[in-house]
Amino acid sequence: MKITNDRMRDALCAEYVLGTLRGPARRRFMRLLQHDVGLRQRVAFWEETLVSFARGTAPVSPSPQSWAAISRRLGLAEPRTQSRFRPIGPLRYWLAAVAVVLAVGLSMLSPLRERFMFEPDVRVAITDDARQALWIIEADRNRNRLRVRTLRDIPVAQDKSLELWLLLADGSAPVSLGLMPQTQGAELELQPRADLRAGNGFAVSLEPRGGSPTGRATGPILHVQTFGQTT
Amino acid sequence: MHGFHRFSPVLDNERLASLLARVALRDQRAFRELYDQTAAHLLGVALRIVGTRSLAEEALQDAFVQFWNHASSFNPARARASTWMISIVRYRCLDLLRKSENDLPLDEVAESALPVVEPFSGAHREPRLDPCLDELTAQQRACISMAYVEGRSHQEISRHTGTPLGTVKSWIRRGLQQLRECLER
Repeated sequence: MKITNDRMRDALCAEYVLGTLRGPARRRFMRLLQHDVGLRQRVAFWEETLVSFARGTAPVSPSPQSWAAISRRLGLAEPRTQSRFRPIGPLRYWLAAVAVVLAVGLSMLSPLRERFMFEPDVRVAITDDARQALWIIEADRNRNRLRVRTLRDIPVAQDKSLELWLLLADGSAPVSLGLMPQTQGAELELQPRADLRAGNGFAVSLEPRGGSPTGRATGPILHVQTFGQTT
Repeated sequence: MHGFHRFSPVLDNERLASLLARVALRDQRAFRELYDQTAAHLLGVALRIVGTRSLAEEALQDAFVQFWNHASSFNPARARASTWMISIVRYRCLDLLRKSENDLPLDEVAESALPVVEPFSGAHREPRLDPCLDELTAQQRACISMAYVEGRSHQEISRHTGTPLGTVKSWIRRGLQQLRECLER
């Protein structure tokens, strides 16, 4: 299907969004859409225009099974709102105390050079839309250390910063790892408070200068890169 | 804390955009809140298109799986969150309708059902649609609405209204063309 005429193109976009473009023509159009930015802009125009027709639609409450099905399909954890309010048993206090003592003891015993060792077991590239690498992030999860290398200059507005987040494998809210360097060649080493072993990905979001004021990502997510639990 | 069937009749796009940002970060609580805020509205949209409750809930579930998997591709600078979500639901509904009509394997159509998010002028402004809708004839408006809201094909609209197929097609085509010309003036 060759679409050269602008008016013809726009009519196709409109009928695609409307849903009256059907059958093989719809499938062909969807294939074209993947490679034609101009076509996608027209489709976006029509999506935003015609959505007004949905305004008058009456809401219908979904059955409780709907949420259950979604969370089953995505393998989501059960909501943990209850456990937040459950009192912590005395045994847990003791275990925590023992863990702290052990951790402090081990850190004093470990040789000095250990502090400078970095043996990454995770290495991911954060890329832009054109798949050009912007940063390389390496993590040594045994030592809970992180190294970020900046491959290109990454300009953002004066009043913005780029913040790095650790996505947690158990689905709880991501934790901030710090702000991303933005000049080519810049390197950053971090020893985050969060346990890197609990993570399964990194994300970079655009935040007010200095980072999210709330501890949660507030701006658009610019990049997401997941990694396996074991590498 | 979360009412099961809570919904807001007017979707707050800034709130939804920030929830989607957190969903992209795999925040399950944000995902649940997104569901609480939008599911009833989206199910209403789906039900009008597919006609049966079970198919509508299937479309809703498919859509939420896509929200979870593709939240990072949503960019609030390029589209409104409600438009993005409603578009996903509608495309999914159209796919399900096609599947139930033709028994196509769903895998074939599943991947393309994401709305596009491209910058275009006026993405964030409320479209000045109402005066433009007033410029359409009643038939044009009705046909476009039947197609958009109820997911009807040209043929179905023709049967439903007792109007020749060619006439229906030209009402829709000219109606859309007029809409565009009016909005871009």
